[in-house]
Order: sequence, then C-alpha cells, then structure tokens
Amino acid sequence: MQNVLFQLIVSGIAMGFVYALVAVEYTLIWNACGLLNFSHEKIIMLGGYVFVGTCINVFHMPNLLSALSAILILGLFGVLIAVTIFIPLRNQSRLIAVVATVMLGQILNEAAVLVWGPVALMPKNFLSGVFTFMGATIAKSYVYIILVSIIIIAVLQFIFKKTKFGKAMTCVSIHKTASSLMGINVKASMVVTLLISFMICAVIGIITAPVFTVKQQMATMIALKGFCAGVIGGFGSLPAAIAGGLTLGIVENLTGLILPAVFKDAVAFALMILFMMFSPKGLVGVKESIKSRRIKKAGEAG
Amino acid sequence: MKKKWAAIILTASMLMSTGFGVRAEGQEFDGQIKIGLLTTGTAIATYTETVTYGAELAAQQLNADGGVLGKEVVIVTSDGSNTADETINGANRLLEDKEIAAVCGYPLSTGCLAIESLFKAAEKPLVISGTSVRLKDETDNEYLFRGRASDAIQARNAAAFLAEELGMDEVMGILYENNDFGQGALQVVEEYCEEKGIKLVAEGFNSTDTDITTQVLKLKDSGCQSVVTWIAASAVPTVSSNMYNQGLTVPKCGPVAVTLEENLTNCEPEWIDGWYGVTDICMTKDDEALTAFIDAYYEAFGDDAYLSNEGANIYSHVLWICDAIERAGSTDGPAIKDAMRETDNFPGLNGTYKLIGDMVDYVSTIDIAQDTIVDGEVTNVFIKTVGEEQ
Repeated sequence: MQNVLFQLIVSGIAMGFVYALVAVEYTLIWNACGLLNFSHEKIIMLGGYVFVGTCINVFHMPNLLSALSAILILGLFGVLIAVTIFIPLRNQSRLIAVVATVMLGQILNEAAVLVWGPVALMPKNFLSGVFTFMGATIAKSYVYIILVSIIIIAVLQFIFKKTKFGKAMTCVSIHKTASSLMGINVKASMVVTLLISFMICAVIGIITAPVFTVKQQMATMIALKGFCAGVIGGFGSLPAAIAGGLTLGIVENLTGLILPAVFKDAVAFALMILFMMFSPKGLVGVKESIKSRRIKKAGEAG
Repeated sequence: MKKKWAAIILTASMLMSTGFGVRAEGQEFDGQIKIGLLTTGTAIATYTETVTYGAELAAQQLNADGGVLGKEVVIVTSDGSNTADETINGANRLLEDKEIAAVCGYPLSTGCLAIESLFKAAEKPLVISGTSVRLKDETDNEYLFRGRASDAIQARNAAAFLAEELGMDEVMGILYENNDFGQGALQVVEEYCEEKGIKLVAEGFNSTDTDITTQVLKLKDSGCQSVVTWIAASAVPTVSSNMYNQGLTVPKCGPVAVTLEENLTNCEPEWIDGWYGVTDICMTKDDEALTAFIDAYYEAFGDDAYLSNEGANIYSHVLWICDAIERAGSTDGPAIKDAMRETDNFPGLNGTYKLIGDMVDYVSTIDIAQDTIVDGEVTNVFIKTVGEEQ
C-alpha cells in the first residue's frame, strides 16, 4: 500500500506540474493581453503534433532536435498569432477577442486532422521506461515532466524578477497605459508574451506526448484542470500556479484510492468550485492580489 | 445458394489475384445496381480507405462474374464524417439517389443510431458496422442489419477466453472506458462473471483522462489473474504503456482496437506484446477465402493499400446484399430486406450470416488474435475462432 501511495503521489506531482504550467501560460496571456486564451489546449496539441507528426515522423529528426524545433516553430507561431489576432483585437470588446481565440482553436483542431490524420501519434523511445525507487515503479516520463516543469518555472521566475524585459512585462500586466507612458513598448511586450506562452505550450505538448499520446483531445482536460489550478492557487503569480497545480494533481490522484477513479475529474472541479465560493483568491493569491491592486491604484492615481 | 456465394468469394478472389479483376471485355450489362457506402471521410481516413477498397473489390468481382441480375454493381460513396449531423447528411445524400438498393458501412454506433430511422422510413436496407448493443436494444427496425459480432458478443467472448481457455477463472479485472462502449462491455462481463462465479474487479476511466496510474495500481493490487481491457483505439498507447510501466503483467484481452496496425505502430512493441484481442477477422488466419481476398485486395489496389478487418467486413457485406438482391430477384427495398432476413448461413469472411434472435444481428463468431513481436514489429497471430456458429 505504501508503494501504491508513493507512486500515486509522484504521478500526482507530475500531473500537478503539468497543470501548473498550463496555469502559468493562462496567467501570462491574461496579464499581458487581459483575455483568456481559449485556443490554449489546441496550441498544446499543435506542439505535440509538430514534434511527433512532423519533426520525428516526417523529417526523422532525433528526439531532442525535434523537441527544440517544435518549441521554436510554436514560438514563431505565437508571434504570428500575436500580430494577427491579439494585438489588432486588444482594444476591442473582450468578448470579441475571446471568440477569436475559440475560433482559432477550432481551426487548429480541424487542420490537425487534415495534416496529421485522425490516428493518435506516439513518439518512440522518448522518455519511456521506468525507475524503481523504494520498491515503487515510477515512469520516467513523470520524472522528466517534473524536472522540465521546475526548470521552466525557474527560468520564468528569473525573467520576471531579474531581467529588465521581464519587469517591463510585469508592468504591462499591472497597467498598460501607465507602462506605455513610462516608455514600455506594450505591443512588443505582448508579442514576447505570446512567444513565451506558445513555447510553454509546445513544451507541455512534447513532455506529455508519451503519457497522453498526441491526438486532438490530448489537452482538453489538462487545459480545464490548468484553469482549476489557477483558481485554486490564485490567478496571477507563479508560486500560486504551482501550489494550485500540485494540490490538484495530488488530491485527484489520491481520491482514486477512496472513490471510483472515474470521479477524480468531478473531485477536481468540485474543489475549484469550493475555492471559488470560500476562498476566491486561492491558496497563495491573496497577498499577490492586494499588492497588485495597490500598484494599480498608484498607477491610476499617477 | 450459400455454396454458390462461397464459390464466388473464393474463385473471384483467386481470379482477381491473377489479374482478372475487371469487367470482361465486351461484357454488356442490363443497367446498374447501386450499393451505397457510408464512410467516415477524412475523419477516420484509414477506415474510409479500407472499406472503399473492400466494397470496390466486391463490386469488381461480381461484375467480372456477370454482375447481379445481369446488372453492373456500382458502389456509390458518401462521407458521413464522425459526427451525428454529418452522418445524417451523408445518409440523406445516399437516400436521395432512388437507384441505390441498399447501404452499408459506417462504424460509429452513435451515427448508426442517428440514421437507422431514415432507412426505415425510406424502406432501404442498412448494413451497419457499429457494434453497440444499443443498436439492437433500442431500435425496432427490420431494415437494420449488422454483419459483425456486437460488443456484447465480443466482450463476453473476451472474458470467456481469459477464464476458460487460459484458466484465469478466480479473479478477473476489467479496465473500461466510462462511456457507452465501455459500460456495455462492463455489463456483459459482470453478467458472465456472476454466471461463472468469478470475482470481478472493475476500474473505469474517462475518455478524456490523461493519467490512469490509479486504476492500474488498483487492478494490480487486487490480485486479478487477467484483465479485460475495453478501450477505444485512441487509448491503446496510454493504457498499454501504463500497464507495462506499472508491471501489470497478467494476460489481457481487449477489443479490435488492440489488434489494429495503426494503433500498434503507436506503441513500443514491449507494451503490447502478448495482449489478446477479439477481432472480426484475424488477417493472419490460415483461411483459403481470406487469403484469396487479401491477395486480390493488394493486387487490385497496390501493396501500400491499407487493409483492416473493416475492409474485409464491408467486402462481405456488399456480397451479402447482392446475394439478397439475387434471391429477391429485385432491387426493391422491402424485397431485399425480406431476402436478407431469410439469410441462411451466408459465408462472409467474418463468419456465417444468419439472423440471431428477431432483429439486427447476423454474426456471432469472432477471432482471437494475439499481439506478438516478430522481427521487432508487433503483428497479430491467430489463436482461434470463438462464439457460436449459427
């Protein structure tokens, strides 16, 4: 039983980090553009398809090179989407921009079937195999998911806290007009945000490909759970996203030990509703939001 | 009559394989008999490819043998995609052509349920490939025919194979998708286990689930001797890799999805090695008619043509419809329907066809195949044919 518990916690942490990455990606675009990207799950899917369907299966590139190529391609695609959809619609009604992202997702979904076909794809010899640790069998893919996620979150934290551009992005997320008056190029900030966001989606699509397989619905549930993680942790900060993601991943996995495992999605969504009702700022979002509100007020007063 | 059609299947297939698969030169037909084929278009491209070729091959062979009632058999294809609204549109396109005698094809049960009443109203026979038990339980349609074993027959035989053939008759596990397909199988396996006094451990997962570690560990922890894995094609890599990684090494038997080439190529060979699957036709079976069909198929459409059990099924269904037309002596819908209902051991590639009960089902046998690594690739090895012959 101890082994089972340990295995479930490890896979829960891995899934938690995936949810955290999704929540981070939601948060980035929300902060930069003020809208939720509802094409999000299809961008993750696209990352998986470019990685397996094109780089590996068509060009027969080595796995690592395929992964780097897919990340680069998705980054460039993010720039294209920023220039053609997000920036032109930034001053429109929020509803119009949200509908545009929904439609983008549908177009990508249909395009994926036409380009890569309807059959699920799986990368061969990529993050496969198992580790045995303390008598428990842990899939290597879960360990890699955890490591890659930690690296991405650390890099993002470094960018936002230590680099001039990252600080500028943070300023834009707090108050676009004030940032613009301070000489920050808001459009450039949005382009870079989309670039980073789409690259994160590509990474999620790549590292989860061995676990989920690459198919149209591969990210449907993790996109929803990522949103849940954001709500549970508290939208707006990286630590909140991690806290929300890990809480969700571990709780839903352990739930399967008590309830039939088919209810774990229901438990995840029930948890989100409970947080929305009783702690809408999330696990660690309270402090951040107060701080943000103060800065915003100062900006408006200025 | 059945000997004649058995002879047609065998000899025409052999003729095709030697290059006689086209209409004899100078042969005159007295009009056409149109058979509708409802495909999934590009939504499930592999299905569309193999059933189109299977139907065309049947038509070519019949025409090479003089046609049916002296008329040329023509296949009319319509794209039903993979959503109910598109399936209805695809079916209506076929029904608008009044010259179409009957329609076959379409593998998705939800789509079949959506269109069956259209055919009842139009009085045209519809030979479906959907396998859900709901197509029998929830319909009242004499024009609805199923020329393959239903999910109920498949799931029961999968459980019976594990318990009776492999002797795993104390504790059985089932991992099922929590949808119509999986719940149907769960019900059948539960009934079987109750009947045989076998303890059943059931674990479900949602189709959108991305991690099934919990379910696999619970099955492993339960001490089950074998597992019925009732999963859709898209779940095969996820489930097989998870079971392999978690060391769930007991014998497993799944639906046709675990035997299909396009799913196996997405798995590392060791994940799926040794799995059993139930399938309409195991393509490696040593069967004269099947071998002739396979040779003729590749001869007609090239070695790269995709072939699965669905292609062989549709080939048999077109021949079955034409057999009924010949027996009815007419292309009139009600007459064909009556002739099809009176089918008496028609020799299809996937079994002999005869009405089971009072409606819909005509095939009760399936093949058990085992995924086996040969030269580093996974291939199906024929184990045996199970189910009751009619």
